[in-house]
Amino acid sequence: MMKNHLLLVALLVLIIVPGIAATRYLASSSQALIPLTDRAIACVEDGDWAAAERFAGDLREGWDERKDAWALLMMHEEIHELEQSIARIEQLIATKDRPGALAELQVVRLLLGHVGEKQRLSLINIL
Amino acid sequence: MNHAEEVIALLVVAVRTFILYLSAITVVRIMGKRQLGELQPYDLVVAIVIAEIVAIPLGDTGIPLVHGIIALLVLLATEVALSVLSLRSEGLQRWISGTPSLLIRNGRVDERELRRLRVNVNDLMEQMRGSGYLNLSDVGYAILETNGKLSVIPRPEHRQVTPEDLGHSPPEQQLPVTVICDGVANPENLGFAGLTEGELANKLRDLGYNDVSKIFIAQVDSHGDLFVQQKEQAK
Repeated sequence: MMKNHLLLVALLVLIIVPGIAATRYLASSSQALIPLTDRAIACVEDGDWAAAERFAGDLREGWDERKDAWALLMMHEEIHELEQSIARIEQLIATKDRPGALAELQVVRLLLGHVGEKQRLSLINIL
Repeated sequence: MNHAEEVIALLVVAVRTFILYLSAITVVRIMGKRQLGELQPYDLVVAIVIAEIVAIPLGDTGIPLVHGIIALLVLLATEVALSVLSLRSEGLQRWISGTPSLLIRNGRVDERELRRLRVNVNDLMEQMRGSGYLNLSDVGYAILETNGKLSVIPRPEHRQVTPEDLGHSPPEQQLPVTVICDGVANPENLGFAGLTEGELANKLRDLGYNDVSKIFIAQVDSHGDLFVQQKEQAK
């Protein structure tokens, strides 16, 4: 009987602790990338393409640091979507395509916002 | 995709399959032997859900492996929790597993109970035949257990004769123990049989066997006698 209780406690710890840690990590690491997209959006709106390219580079760097860890926790399709969008942003900024760059930056911002949101223990996610 | 990439993609599936297989085996082992025998309703649900949990990430490499493993752990925790709580609460046990139903009482079929359980007479007769009873008149009681199996208790005049009925008191039987399997002696089982390796060697020599490695199986039977079968190539 005691063995069953210990097993149950061990299982709950094994499920809850990594679950909370993973949710927090995804939320904080995705939120850390959002200001970079905001700054890139501001630069594109102002026509400051050099600064926009710098922020897009920072976004790429941040993404490359995180994507392997995210792949352990998120659906791989979402990882590919973000990867493709970031690649498109780099190209659109390099070619100074204002509408395209703004649209794609908004897409990445939205996807990053969803990363933390989708992991939360909320009624919407459960249903 | 070039040839090397195709091989790596296949290896990804192979490694994921291996990990999920080991995880499922571990979970079923921890859940215990109940999962492997006659299934209670909630055991059946667990078995079906485990199959699904393992199959989905196995077939789709886009789903993180950890999703399947977490789901397996949650299922294991739920199963353990329900088992522990069921041991403490008879009400919960009844709610989860149901209660046995008496379908035949004193040789009479309980029609109302059959209707309530949506079991027809043919099903009942089929299960009775499976238990070795062809005539309703031979049966005293029949109980439909919570695992769906029918337990049949025959009328006293139709039950099997026991040594006690004949006034015999048969000698105690020992548990048959396999002492050599595929050429290797099992020290633990030798202990159960009350033999040392030396005594086993002497017994084997008396029977004309000098080399343990050439014996396929040796068993100390319920009478304490040694049964030996040699390996085919050793003959």
